[in-house]
Amino acid sequence: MKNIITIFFTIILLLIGIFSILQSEQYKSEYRKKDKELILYRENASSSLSYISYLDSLKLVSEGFFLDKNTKVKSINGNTLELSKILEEKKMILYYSSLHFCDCFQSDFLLLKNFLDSTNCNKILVLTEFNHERELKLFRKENASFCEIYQIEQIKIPMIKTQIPFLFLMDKSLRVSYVFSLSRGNSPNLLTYLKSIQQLLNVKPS
Amino acid sequence: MFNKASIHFYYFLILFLSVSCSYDTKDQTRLTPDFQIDISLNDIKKNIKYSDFIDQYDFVKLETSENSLIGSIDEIRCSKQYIFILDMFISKGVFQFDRKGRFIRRVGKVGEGPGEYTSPISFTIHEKKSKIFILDNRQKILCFNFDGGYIEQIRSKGFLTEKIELLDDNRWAFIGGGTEDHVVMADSQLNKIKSYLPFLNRATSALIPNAIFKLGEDILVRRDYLDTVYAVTKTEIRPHIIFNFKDKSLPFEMIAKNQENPSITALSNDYCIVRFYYELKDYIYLGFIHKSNAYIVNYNKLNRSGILFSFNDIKDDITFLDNKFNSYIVGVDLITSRFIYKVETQDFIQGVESAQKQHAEGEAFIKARGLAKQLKTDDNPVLMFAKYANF
Repeated sequence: MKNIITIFFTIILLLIGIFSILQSEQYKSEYRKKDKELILYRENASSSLSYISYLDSLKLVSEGFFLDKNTKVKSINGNTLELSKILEEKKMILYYSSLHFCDCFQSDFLLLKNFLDSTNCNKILVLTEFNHERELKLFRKENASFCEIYQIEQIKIPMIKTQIPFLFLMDKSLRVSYVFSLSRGNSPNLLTYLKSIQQLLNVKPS
Repeated sequence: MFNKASIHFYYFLILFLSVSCSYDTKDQTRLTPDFQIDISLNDIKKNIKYSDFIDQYDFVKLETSENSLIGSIDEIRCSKQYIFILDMFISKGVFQFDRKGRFIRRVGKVGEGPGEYTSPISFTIHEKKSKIFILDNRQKILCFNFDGGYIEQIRSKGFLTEKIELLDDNRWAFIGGGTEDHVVMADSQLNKIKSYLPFLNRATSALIPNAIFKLGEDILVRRDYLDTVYAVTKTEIRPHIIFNFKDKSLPFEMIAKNQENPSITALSNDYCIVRFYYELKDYIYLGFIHKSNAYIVNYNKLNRSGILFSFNDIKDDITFLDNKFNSYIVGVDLITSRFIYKVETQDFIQGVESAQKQHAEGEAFIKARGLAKQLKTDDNPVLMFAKYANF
């Protein structure tokens, strides 16, 4: 009887051992698979980033969010102001940084300028983030239609990582909504966007 | 044991095998380079100052006006009389200054008529012919004289290009833009003669600082990220320099297999990624990235010795810039054998003010303070022409 019990427990122990080994191999293989996925992810990091940004933008468009109430901006004359103070009424904001100097957005800028003509230039405000004052000077030289330009440091909007200029609406409460990224070949969408903004801002075509 | 014929057979077989093993058209790094620079991150020098490797320097303040405002210095070429600067995207054009920085003119203009360009992405000059050649839209070269007069345009036949250089015998060398090979040689009418080095991806081809330039008889070319600089001569292409990072060298396959532009940040976690390279007759300047930190190697070709330091650690005792705004090389002046550093005026003014508060003194500070007084924060950058010391 003793022998039978010993053999039984030995077989049980052996089975448990084999099961553990099999399970550990399964984990190992899953780990290797995940590792490969991670490597693939790293290799495709740049394209993934644009996808994440796309998801971010969808979330922003649908939900909107608030900027820090104390966000400060600097005027062209060098005066520091509270952003909420210069937004007495809801305005469309163009965010533009030194990374955005590119031919790609030329047609979109043309549309924007036409929009400005129809709004008498008082419904759009440009927030810029330039490394050097010379870049601001160049931006102003090329884009004289934009009359309200402010500099901002480290605006906390996820869209920034797309490295594309973008538009959004903002009111006195600093709520960011209706985010739209400019991009090459997106002009028909921009036109639709501007038309809806025109209604939201109660702008009558001149 | 062997008859004469079989000895000859084996002799030619051995010769054939040895030649085919030592030369592979796809991997030409197997040939011995002119220079192999061994770089180990254990050899980083601390407490380096600009004056440790810069012997003499002159500042050139680029005149600022409505017409001469430059966004970025993407390419720079110097003749005996002039400094030419290409700004690809922001002000879009080639700006001509005299050697003292006085603005002469903008060469050509943006447009679609004769002598006008829409997308100037590279240029070169020919001193003896007093001509400027501007590459427009990857397939058209506009030719002007040094007086700004438009002469003619030539179109490339069957290939696109990103960067150009002209040889003394009127042949052209191009860095390819998506065609079969990376380097394309063409005749004076832009008919392709020969091409070298398989095209990898746009990251290694477009927007590379100093991707192709003439040094003596050779045309030097490089691909971004990679550790080999090639020399194209009249008859061949050979490796000119290999930057040997040992176990931190980026495997060629990592670039070759990527169809899209690989992420520098990801690659730099494991490898040293070459980004900036400039060369003079006696010196080499290399900038590379590892783990998102930038490093510089200044190499003396005569002594075959170099200095490796971290870009953020260097003490700037010449332009007095804060470490995060260091000045950096944007080109070379082959006439005076000097490296050309770009110094942002805004950073320069702030740096000098900060140095003054810390009671800086000495000849270099007096020179910098004198210049800073003449500048405004939104002026064009200052160029520093630096002659390297015999380190």
